[in-house]
Amino acid sequence: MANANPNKQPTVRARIRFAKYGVMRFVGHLDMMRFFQKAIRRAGLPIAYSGGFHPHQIMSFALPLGIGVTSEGEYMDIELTEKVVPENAIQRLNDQMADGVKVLSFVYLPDKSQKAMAAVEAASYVVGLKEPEGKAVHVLARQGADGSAGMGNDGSIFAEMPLEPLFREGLRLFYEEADDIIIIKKTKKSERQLDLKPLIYEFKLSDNAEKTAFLPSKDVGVSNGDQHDLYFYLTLSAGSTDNIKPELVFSHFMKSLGIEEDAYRLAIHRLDLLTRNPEGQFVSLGDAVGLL
Amino acid sequence: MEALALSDDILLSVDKAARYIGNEINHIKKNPSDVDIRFALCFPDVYEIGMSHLGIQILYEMFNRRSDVYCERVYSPWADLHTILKERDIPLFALESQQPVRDFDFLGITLQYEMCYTNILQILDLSKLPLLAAERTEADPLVIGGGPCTYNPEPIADFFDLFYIGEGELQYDALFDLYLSMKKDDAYTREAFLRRAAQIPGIYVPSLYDVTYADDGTLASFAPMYDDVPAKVHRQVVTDLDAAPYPTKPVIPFVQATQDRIVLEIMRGCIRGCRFCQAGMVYRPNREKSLDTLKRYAREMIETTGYEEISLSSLSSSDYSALPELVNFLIDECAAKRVNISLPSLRIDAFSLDVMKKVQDIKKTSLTFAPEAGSQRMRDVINKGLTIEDILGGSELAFKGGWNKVKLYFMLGLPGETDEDIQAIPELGNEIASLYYDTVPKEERTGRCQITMSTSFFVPKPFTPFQWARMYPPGEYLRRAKLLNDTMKEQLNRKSLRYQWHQADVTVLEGIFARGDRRVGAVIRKAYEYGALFDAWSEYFDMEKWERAFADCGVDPDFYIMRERPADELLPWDFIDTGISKDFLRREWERAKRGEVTANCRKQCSGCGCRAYGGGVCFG
Repeated sequence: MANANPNKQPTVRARIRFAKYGVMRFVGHLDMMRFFQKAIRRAGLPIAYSGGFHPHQIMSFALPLGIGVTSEGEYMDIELTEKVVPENAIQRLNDQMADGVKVLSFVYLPDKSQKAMAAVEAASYVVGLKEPEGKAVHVLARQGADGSAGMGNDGSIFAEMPLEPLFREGLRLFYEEADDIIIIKKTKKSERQLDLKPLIYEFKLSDNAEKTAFLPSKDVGVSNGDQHDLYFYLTLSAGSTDNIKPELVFSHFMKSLGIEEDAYRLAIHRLDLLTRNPEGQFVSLGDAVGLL
Repeated sequence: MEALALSDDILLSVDKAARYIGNEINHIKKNPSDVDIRFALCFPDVYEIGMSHLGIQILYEMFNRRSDVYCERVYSPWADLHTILKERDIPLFALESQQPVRDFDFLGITLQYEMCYTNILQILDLSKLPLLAAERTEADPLVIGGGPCTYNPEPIADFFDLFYIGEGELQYDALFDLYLSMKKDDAYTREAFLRRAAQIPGIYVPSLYDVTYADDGTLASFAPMYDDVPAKVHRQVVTDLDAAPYPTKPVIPFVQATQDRIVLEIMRGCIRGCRFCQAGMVYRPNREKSLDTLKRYAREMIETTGYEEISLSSLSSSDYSALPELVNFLIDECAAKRVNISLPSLRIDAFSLDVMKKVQDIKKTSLTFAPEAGSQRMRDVINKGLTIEDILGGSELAFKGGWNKVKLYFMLGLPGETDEDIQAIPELGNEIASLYYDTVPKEERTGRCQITMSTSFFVPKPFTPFQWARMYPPGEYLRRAKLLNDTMKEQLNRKSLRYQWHQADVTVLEGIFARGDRRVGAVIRKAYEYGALFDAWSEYFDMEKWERAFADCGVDPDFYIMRERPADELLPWDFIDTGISKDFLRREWERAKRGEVTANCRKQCSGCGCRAYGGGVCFG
């Protein structure tokens, strides 16, 4: 570690995958970076430092995670001045984690591989939806004039619909059969029109049989550990261009159903970050190491 | 992992939710049902400030060493959460267990500055405890105060069941043991416990003292109600700091704290005896930790925290006997571990400049002097042993070393200050700027030098030689600041000079709290009712609320600030024995008026009385 000038030393790059869950979902992105900087020092990993008068650890996160969102697919790349046995690195890091952060894997990257941040093209999520307690009445959906359940804009009458058929029907109209999903995306400086449709690679509602399959692994649990009434599975465009957050998709989805945005409690859990393999298929950022 | 006290929708709606979830590295986890005493330890300000405080970390570590005590932390919810807790009727909770404070045995509140007083009421209010100690029941926690503001606890006496006066390391075990034994013997009632606690050295139970006032508003008497309650409460002082507990595994916050670094306390107390400085008096005698202890702590804390910076903490680090050895050790140790060193409160001389050059980027840092007064006459009055030669000599060395930014700290409104003393401040700034242009040849300069002068307004504090001094109305403080500013604009090097000053209203209020009596408590309560909160934060401070509160309570602020108190006046804090004799303080007040300096503790004992503690510099 006592290198006078670490920049001149050859370094090895490693990719760490970790889960963030439980109360840690309220710790923001910058605070997580500072948390890992300290944890890496406590773990005694031979992290490489940048040059200059204020050297900093060479570490970069793949994609920020919103506050309140849990994940088992967080990645960061670090540079080390010497190799450490991966199992050993995982153990040393996990000894330094707060309750709610767990390092899942540690792999060395080939020299020319892309940085995690640049490689990310999509993110997959499971979103649990729960009816608020004490409000058993299902949301009113519009019913078409011909009696079929639908979102007819004219001559609609209102009828009660159970939760699952409502969202299944809603999803069909909002996503599956829609030609486009035009939204206005507001930034600090401007407003622009954006078609969400091609940026949502997958958006489906699990049926009962699939429900458990969508549950994240046991030790990382969906945010507050509650059971939810419905589980949605989404794969969304992510990365430096067209980074689409699940909150945004759901806010427009709810709007299309005529439902107040905060009518249901959503538990958002990121499952993985994805990149494309040479054949153009999505693969996990953790599995893609050898391909890139 | 505990269930959180706050729901997701609340945590997602407030700023920096991670302040309220606990779970930090090095926090202490116990099962509340395994302990006999639950202690909620509170710093009544926002989390980032409170988490930066060493005293809390010391007590947290010390209390939790006991298997029968579980000490948890509490901070002021920020204004956004405050509103939500009030609206939704959610009781304030401790971070570790996320359980309500009102279910604890003790609520300990540290009192670090007067402007946190409304935040004390916020903590009590949000915890759903009666604000007044007299209205609390057997079910409520015992509310105990500690820290520097306990050297005059009277303005907040009504809100506390008891105070601990002095260094926390000494008597908490006795207090806890008494509590446990009375509970065990079924002898516990709130009243019986407080009566017996009052007999523990350093414990002050305000409800056991009678206060009467004379017709002119001054104190007529202050006496215990019972024979077994001591008339004097003795400040507790640790004599062997090496043997005292130290938190070498401090709790490390997720959100960035104000003090985002390892804090290495190298000594307590100060040898200097500046007459305005309460800390310099009430932490006497000066006591150092040994070099070996500090080396051990530094090594250990670099390992346990992962912090990237270490800072020395003391009132005057340059006076630490083994400073060169300590600093050289840190430079070696820290370079290997890539830890930066921060060295506040160093006197500027060849040694410190040499060290700073090694550990700081001189292009980015500025040099700091605290002359406190502009004229030598005034510096003699306050016994600040910094001479013009020290300042100019240090500056010259610094300019030659490549620095071009200097910060200077002063006070305005010091006792006996004249307009000439005020004008001497920008004149000193100008002289330093001239020195820069004389010292550094044109081709070596990178633009102008930058001399920044800051002033705060002086607030007389109890147990200082200036405890009898008068203050001034806000308008007078602002006149002085303006005079300084106008004089600065007349200086030759005015373009190299900057001036910043503080709010005057806050100063006046701080002055009232610092030397107030029990009658001020009603005003604090009223102001809180009017919405005063986070008074230490300029964006929240609202003098209008305070003016209304004073008027409503019929309390005249001028009584507390505009009078020079006569020598024979009974002062509200006279019942505390800090070890410093009133005779010594009076002598120093008279010497100040004559502009006579007093030697520091290493040169000559000035007989303040603290030798009686039997340790530290007095026996050096």
